[in-house]
Amino acid sequence: MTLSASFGRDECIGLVVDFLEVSLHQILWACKLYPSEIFKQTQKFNALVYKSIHPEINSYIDNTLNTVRNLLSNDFVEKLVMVIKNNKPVERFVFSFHSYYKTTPSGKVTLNVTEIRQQATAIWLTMSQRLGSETHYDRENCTFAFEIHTRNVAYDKMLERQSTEDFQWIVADNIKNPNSVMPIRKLDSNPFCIDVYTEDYRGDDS
Amino acid sequence: MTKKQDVTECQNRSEEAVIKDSPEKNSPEKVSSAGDIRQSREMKRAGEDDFLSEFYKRSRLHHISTMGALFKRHVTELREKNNGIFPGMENIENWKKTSGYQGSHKNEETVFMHIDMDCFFVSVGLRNHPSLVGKPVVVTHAKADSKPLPRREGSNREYEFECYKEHWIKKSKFAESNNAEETEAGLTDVFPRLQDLDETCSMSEIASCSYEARAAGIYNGMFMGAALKLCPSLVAIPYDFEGYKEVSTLLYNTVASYTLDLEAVSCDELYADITTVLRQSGLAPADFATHLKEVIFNKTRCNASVGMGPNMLMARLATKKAKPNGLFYIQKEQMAEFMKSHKIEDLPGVGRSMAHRFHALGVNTCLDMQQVTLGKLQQEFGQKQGQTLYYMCRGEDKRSLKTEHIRKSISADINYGIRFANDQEMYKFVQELSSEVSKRMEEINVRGRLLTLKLKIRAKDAPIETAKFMGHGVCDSISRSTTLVTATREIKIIEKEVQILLKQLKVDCRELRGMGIQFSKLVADNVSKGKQPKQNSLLSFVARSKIVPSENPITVPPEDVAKTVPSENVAASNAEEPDDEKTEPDKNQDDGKRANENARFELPSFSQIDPTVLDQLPDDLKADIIQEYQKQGITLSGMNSPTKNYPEPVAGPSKAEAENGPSFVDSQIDPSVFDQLPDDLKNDIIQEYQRKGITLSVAKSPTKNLTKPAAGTSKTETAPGSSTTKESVISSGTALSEKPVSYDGIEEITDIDASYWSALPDDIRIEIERDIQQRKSETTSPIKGWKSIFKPQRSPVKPAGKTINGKAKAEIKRKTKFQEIPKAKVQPTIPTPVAIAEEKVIIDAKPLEAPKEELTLSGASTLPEIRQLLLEWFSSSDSPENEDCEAVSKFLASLVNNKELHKIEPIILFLKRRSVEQSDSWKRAIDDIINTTQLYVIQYYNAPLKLPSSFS
Repeated sequence: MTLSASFGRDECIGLVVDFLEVSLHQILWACKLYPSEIFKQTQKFNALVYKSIHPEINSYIDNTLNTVRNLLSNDFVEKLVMVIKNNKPVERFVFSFHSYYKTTPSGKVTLNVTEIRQQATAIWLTMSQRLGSETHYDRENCTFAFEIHTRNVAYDKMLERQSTEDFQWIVADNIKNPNSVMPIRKLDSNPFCIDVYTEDYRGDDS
Repeated sequence: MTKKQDVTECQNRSEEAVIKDSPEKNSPEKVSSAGDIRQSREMKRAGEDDFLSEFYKRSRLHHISTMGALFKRHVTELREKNNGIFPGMENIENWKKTSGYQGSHKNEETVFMHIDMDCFFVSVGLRNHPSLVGKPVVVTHAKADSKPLPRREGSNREYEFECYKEHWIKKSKFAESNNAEETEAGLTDVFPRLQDLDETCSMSEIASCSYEARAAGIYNGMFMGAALKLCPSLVAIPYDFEGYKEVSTLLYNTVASYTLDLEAVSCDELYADITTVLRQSGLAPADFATHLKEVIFNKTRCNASVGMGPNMLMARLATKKAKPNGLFYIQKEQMAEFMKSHKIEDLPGVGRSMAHRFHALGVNTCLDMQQVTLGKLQQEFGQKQGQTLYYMCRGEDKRSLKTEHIRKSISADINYGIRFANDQEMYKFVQELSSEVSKRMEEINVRGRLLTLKLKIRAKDAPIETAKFMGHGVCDSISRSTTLVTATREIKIIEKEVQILLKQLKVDCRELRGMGIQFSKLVADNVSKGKQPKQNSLLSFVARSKIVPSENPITVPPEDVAKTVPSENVAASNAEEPDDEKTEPDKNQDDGKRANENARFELPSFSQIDPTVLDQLPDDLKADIIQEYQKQGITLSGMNSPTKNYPEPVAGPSKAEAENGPSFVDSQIDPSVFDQLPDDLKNDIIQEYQRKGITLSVAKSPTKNLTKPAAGTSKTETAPGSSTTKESVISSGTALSEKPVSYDGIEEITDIDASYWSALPDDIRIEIERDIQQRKSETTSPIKGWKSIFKPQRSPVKPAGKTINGKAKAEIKRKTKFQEIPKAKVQPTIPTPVAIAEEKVIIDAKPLEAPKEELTLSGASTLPEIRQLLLEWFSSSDSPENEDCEAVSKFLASLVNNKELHKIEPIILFLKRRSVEQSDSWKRAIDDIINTTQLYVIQYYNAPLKLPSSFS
């Protein structure tokens, strides 16, 4: 039951951030950037997922997501991108936010939690399946980074806040166009619509 | 020590209830001087027949714990039945006369009373053994004169105690006790009985002991073997569960005859707020307590101790002072003084482990604790508990009686006798345990949604045979939860879920030592009761297939829906007969109430409606009425009993907004029709049903519902918040075959009822005329259906000058129907002229916003549908029509536009795969489509979609 339940704005964003967090860990795990020993199995939305237990990685992810959380509450995030790079970007995982919280007058949003869970689970599955089947590039020497694509004046606001925070963002270089894009899935349940896809920088001949 | 504490302690030690003696002792033995013969039976092993019922028949903890819950219910029931008369007050008057007490006491303050029976089990047991009164008596499963038992093969007591000890030390480390000496002291504190134990003495635990036995140093929870060493003259009496129940009931009824401000704690312990009683009777607290004790003793022949105080905590602490068989009243003024003398262990909620943490902090008495600041306590024990402790050590307690008893979770755990030989035994046990949990949920009318499976698995290095016969020994505890889609208590579902979890955990059944099923996130089922008594069989569902109307999903508040539903179902079943026409409801009824009341319209025949009146009705009301007629039109087409289907805002208002529009579907499931459906369709329906409550994307867009009933259009009605009201209604393919038929009936405007025609707004009339003409030209089209489907001006992505959203939708709808005519050949073609025109009206009446319209290619929006459509297209001619290609490209482009990349990918791959088998002209066309789409993708994503290189 409680397929639909009312959520406040913060809870909504919390749900999105939860989804993002698991997704990022899931990507890290599936990409095998790090030895599998630093991951532990855990459960989210009834699905088996992997979470890093490395404190530094986790704090990096947490800090990023904190920023995302702040920006989301103002609808300032356009995309959250996780870049896998080997000096140059190899692959980028894009979480593109299309629609936001149409709040009802009471400030509560009714979510179909089950739908969200199912879609989130499907995304994670697709992700690990896709990445698991691809072995033809060497990810061991890769690192990862995050990009946040903001809307409007969010950038200025972020800079203002930077002075008070430990976690610093820098302006991104011009981002090269990828060679191809590959959809993963979409989390599409009112009021969210998050498109998840990858941008591939490897040559088509690889 | 009270029974309650006894129970907790047993659980803390993770020792389970003692069921019975070892089977080695086969000869019946005399147990007590009263000559009780105890029968020795083989203890059943889990997995054997009736293990569970046997277990529960004998489990001490089970009885005690269920009795607590039982009396909580009992009190609630008493409260419901109460008519405001308390017969006890009369007793007080009589008693005052005989004993000469004056009712002149003026009581201003609130007084709580805590009643606790003295060594309950023993007291009750002694009613049948009067000769034992005054002797050291204990209640236990074992026999007092049991001889030392031979050590069982493979068991190792020292090992297990070591394990518990280590475990405990680890835990106290956690409490930051670094002082080795202290730890050692704590150890003897916790494991005093280790010294008393030797290899062979009985490990039956003592459930209750008389005060004489306590004087000899025996305490509740002690092992029988150890106790016998301390006091060889100890007499053991067996449990008398019937007696406990009888005495408890008497106790509760007695107290309830004075006041119903009760909170049941357990079978022999309760709180009461006696303020009112005192005020009415004019008795002093102590006088009333004396009276009550007398009455209880007369009725039960058992002694009760009574404590009173200004709050529940004080009452409880006073009882400690009152024991045995006394009474104690703490007045507000004495409170502070009284608290100072108490040890922290006396406080409720402070158990061994917490006490140990306090000792580590140097806090031993409540006085010590009063010196600790609130912040420190909260830091140490958490926000809430810290605060509670802070107030508690000062004797303050803000709790009020919990008269409403709400269960948070329900579980059945068995950690005794679990020795499975094979998986079959295990699964059989799972079944029994599932039905036990189910039964418990049924008893209190709840369903649970979060299922937790708790397992005890023999620790790796633990001996195979446990020290305690059939006990669980040293175990690793693991648990795994799963959230069910709907709250349930169906045995089959529980069983299945548990089996899945067991498989996930890859448990070796031979290593299992304990299993428990717990349900939390409980949902009371009084709302859904009677509506969906059974949820798990499709047949029962089909038989019940019914209407859940709600005309206006945007305005109906969920609460109203919940209320509306049951009555609706009645209406639905009444409506089995198509000609079941009833009186016309007041059409001008209050708009606000409308949503509720017009849940089902009963309308007169259409001809009786004055078009002018109709015209003047508010738009939505008009649409509703017309809708109703449309349905009747279908009803009259001679099919099965009509059922109507109304969409429910699955995700509340905002969702409804997005859904928008008239997603009404005429649904009916006739078992015979259902039988004849193609398998995949049947599966869809079944799936749909199983997932009731879940919005499928299939059911999301109005366009969809109108055009593709074949996908098993679902209506899910989800009740507000945690309520259980939920209904899912499935529409089968039947509706699909009828609608197009009724539409097709219109060949000429003259088919339309003249009066109705005149009532239509101009633009709709024009629209219909145009449609009819178009349809005429289509019938003459060479490739029937196909060519027209992709005709650009008719394609959904290209509304071709049609400005109103709703009209565009109407187009799609119409087209699809047209396309589906061949499928509907079997169905009788009965023209229902009215229906078509009405459809138009409805669509125009509701089109205002469609923020999230699902894109469709000629009505096809899911992948299988689109594939099917494309396949048909390929086979329709040798070379593709340009405009059709364009339509497909446009569709794909619009998907890109909507960022539905994940939908495009499979379509393009499909096209590519198919193009291999096609002629050159098709190949070129398909390449064109793909290239165009890629251009769009590049435009939005800066890169083309990645496609397998073998194709490119």
